[in-house]
Amino acid sequence: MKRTSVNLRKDNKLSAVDVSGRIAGIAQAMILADSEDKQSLAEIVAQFETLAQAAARENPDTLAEAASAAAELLRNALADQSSDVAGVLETLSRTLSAMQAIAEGSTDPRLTTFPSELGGQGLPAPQKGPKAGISSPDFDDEIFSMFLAEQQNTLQELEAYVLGLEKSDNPEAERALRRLIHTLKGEAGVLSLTEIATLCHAVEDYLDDPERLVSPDCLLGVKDWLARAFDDYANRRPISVKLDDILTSLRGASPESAATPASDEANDDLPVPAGKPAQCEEIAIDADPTLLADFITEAREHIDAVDVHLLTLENDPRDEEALNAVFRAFHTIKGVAGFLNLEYIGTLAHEAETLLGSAQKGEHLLTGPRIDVVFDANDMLKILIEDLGSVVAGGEAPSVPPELPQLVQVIVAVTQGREDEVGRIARLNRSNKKLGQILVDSGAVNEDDLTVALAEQAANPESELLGNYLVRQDAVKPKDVAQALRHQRGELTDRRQAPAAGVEHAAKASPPAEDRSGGGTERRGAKVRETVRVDTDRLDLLVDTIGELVIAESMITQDPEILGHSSDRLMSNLRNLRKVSRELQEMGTAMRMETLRGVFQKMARLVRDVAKKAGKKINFELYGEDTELDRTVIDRIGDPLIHMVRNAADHGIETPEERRACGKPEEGSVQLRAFHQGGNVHIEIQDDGHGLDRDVLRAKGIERGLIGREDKLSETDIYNLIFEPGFSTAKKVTDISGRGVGMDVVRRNIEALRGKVGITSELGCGSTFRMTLPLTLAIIDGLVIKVGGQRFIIPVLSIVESLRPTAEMLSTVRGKGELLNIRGELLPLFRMGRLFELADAVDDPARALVIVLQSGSRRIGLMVDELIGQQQTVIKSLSQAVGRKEYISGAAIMSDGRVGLILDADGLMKLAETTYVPSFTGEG
Amino acid sequence: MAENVMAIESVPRVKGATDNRQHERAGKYLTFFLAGEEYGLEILKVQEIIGMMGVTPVPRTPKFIRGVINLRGKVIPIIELRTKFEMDTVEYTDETCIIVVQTHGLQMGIIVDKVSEVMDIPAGDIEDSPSFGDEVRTDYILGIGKSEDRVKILLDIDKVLSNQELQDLQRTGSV
Repeated sequence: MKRTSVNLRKDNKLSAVDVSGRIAGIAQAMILADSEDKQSLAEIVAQFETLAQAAARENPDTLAEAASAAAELLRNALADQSSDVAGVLETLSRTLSAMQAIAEGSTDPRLTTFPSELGGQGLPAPQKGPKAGISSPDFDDEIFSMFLAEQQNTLQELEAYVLGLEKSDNPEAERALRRLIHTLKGEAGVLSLTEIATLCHAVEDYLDDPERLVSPDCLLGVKDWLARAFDDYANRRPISVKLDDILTSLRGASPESAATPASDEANDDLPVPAGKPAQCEEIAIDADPTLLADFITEAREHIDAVDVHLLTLENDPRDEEALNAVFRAFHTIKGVAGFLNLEYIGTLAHEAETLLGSAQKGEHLLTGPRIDVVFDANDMLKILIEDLGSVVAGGEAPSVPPELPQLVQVIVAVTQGREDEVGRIARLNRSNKKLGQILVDSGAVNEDDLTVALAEQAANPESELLGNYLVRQDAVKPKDVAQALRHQRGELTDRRQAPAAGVEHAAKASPPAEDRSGGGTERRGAKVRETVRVDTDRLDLLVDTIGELVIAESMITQDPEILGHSSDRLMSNLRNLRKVSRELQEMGTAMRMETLRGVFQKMARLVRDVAKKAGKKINFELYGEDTELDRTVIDRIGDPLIHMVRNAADHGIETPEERRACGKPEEGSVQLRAFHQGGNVHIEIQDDGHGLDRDVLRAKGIERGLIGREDKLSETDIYNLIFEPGFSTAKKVTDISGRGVGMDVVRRNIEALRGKVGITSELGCGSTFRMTLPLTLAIIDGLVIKVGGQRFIIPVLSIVESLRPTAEMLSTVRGKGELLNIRGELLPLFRMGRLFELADAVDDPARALVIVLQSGSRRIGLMVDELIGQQQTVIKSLSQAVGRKEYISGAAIMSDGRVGLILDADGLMKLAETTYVPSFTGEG
Repeated sequence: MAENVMAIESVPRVKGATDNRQHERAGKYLTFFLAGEEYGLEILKVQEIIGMMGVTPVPRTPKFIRGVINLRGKVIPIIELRTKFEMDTVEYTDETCIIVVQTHGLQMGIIVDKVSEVMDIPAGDIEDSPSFGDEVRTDYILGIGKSEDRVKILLDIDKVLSNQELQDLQRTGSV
């Protein structure tokens, strides 16, 4: 209470100044106001009224009207016991922000728009422009959360329909799309989400208009907009995306302003002049937020890696490994940024990559200013990515720091060997204002407060950042500090302080709201889904431990002593134990597995966008997206898949003209397939483009000194050349691909997963890239068999049938081996007991069983003693110390805690052939 | 920066180079019995001792690889040390143990007749293994430890299963 009175006195002093002073005064009072404390609220009402009078004298009417409406709103809220005072206060604080903006002379409609709630209280029509804020605070939180959770599905369906619609004019898909939009409109209407309802209505109009061809681009834009909007709703913040753009594009006008390229600026000869505060350019982000979030996570990893490798390079500029690693990182960032339309990031990465590329070719060593600018570029990327991160988290559009074009210029200059220009460019741009000065200039804080704060900061040796200090003293609003910091960063450049303070700012994002809610009504209930990234080692350990628990549990429940002294109570308790441990086990295994659907779906969008950019027609088909893979594997195949799919679409498929010329249908086809085979997961990317030209590859390989002129190379060896770092046959480098880094990334990533990648290709007919991935922890359905007292597991996928052979079915080829005649088909028969040298295996075929195995197109019969049953097992890799056994794909922990070996049909056949050398052709 | 660190590290190394081997050998050993003889393993290489449990044989591997076991969800190979040392195999008893060791960066279990104790052997009590001529491989013997009046053969577990053997082993699998 003491603090309040002090501050109120300050208000009076301020209110004498002018309108903006009064606004600041109210703002302070509001921050301190307690929704329970009628007295202080009444004071605010009074202050609003004074403001209305003051504003009426000297300012545009809007301010005065808004002020009196605000006073009215709060007075009504005070009079009505049941009303939501905290909600009203929030509205008022938004009103105040708008007032501040108007008083400062801002014309940006997003800043100066009053919340719509004010309008409901008798305010003359609010200013035109998109509304800020959730329109109606009175809907039920639970319903709202449910609505948002459902929208995830809705959006996925929407995208699927649109992509389907694009592929063929499918009236069913269009009808489904309409239904979806209509439902959404209805729901949005019920929840008073006017923006969504308006948009849906516009989409319906758009779809109904017989004059217009439906443009998938436009509809995908709608989807992205909705995704952003839902995201904003979920985080309880005003919608950060502009409705107008999307509406215009729906109405047919071309929304050229969608993405403002920063790259243009890079070409301007004169950089932003010094002195004047640089205008931060806002970037419209139109990418899917989930893709964006993924990109940010990945980019962060890449940036960290670049830092490490650059440090190595600094010590040893000849370290090719490090150079390649840096290059790959920039390349990947560039590629994805290009795909996400983040041109300003793409440009930066592109220029850095060019510089690194020339170093890679040995044109110069990465030393002195050259490595410095790469460091700078990486630092800048860090800032840009963090900004982007705050977009995803906070909804504000990022701004391009004015130093970016300058940095790009520097990089270009360095690449071209004009180091001397660097200083000039840098000097032109330097101007460094102190944070306090900016705050005073912008009117967020008055000079007296600043002086006090600075003095206190100087007196205190462990002084915190000025911004934090001011916020704590309530001298200034956190938002203003953040703005000033961005401003300062824009002007250049205390990089360390800016992001750090930014984080602080995020942490205390809305102190007013917290102060008011006091009683503990958590209003942030509508989070859609939260995930935690857990170290996979821990996850492994958890799954292993659960496995042990299940085994221990079954050993106890099956113990004869326990079964002997059974009481009903003990039995029911044991059953309960069993149930719980089974559930745990299921949860444990499910935690690690994910389908490929998410990754594949991303590819669909990627192909589409690449095709659009390159002016190609591509029919993209997905198969087996429900194939389950270990989460770690899924996480790590994203990168290589992007590169391969992009290669197929960008390099593989020809332009429609070329295709017509070769007599192929104009529309190219790219297929992405995933399936299990032989205990592995295979992912294939098949295109029907022009294929790989062996002669060109060979020539290029000789030119680059990778192979000798006389070397005799197999087809595979030649194709594998494309995996060499820096190997590219593309004639020109585009912003998407062509530098030859991509395939190097692919191979490294897949090898890191202990997988393989192979190519088959036919010139003129297309190529197929096949990734073979081990399923480290993937689950397979296995048949448990017994031979010579030992148990083995055979993957059910490899089994055709099992039968008990009769004497007539068996025949022996002299000196070679045995054959089994199944319904006229002759199969080589192998006795597993002999194959594995197991002493007490059943020797009489009539008492044994035969399992028919298939791998590829080959079939064999395998003689075993008995079948025990089918069970799902988690594959564990057989320790390296036992060595790689082709006929054993892994091990599984059986229910008694012992290890069972999982057989690999393909390896088993190879083993059998080399052991027996039977004749497959001689049928006599 | 990096150079400085290297320089500091290298000082003691140079100093101790003369009696390096002896110093390295002194320390705590886990001793165990195998066919009546007592052996020692550096305690730092030993991860844990477990009782004998069901071992799953892996087909077509060298005889001394007894098979694999499930060590709390991890599949690790088990080596029959008797077979490896070309001794007769015997029936397992209650005292038969598996010592889990870390070697070549891998976990591995070795089967021994009986685990004895953990003892500190000072450098002075360790002698180099005697030479039996070129024919006999002794590189896997770290030294001979004397305490009281018994002799303990100190094993260098990394060499018991040499790199070459590991590689051969890994190759045997591929057909």
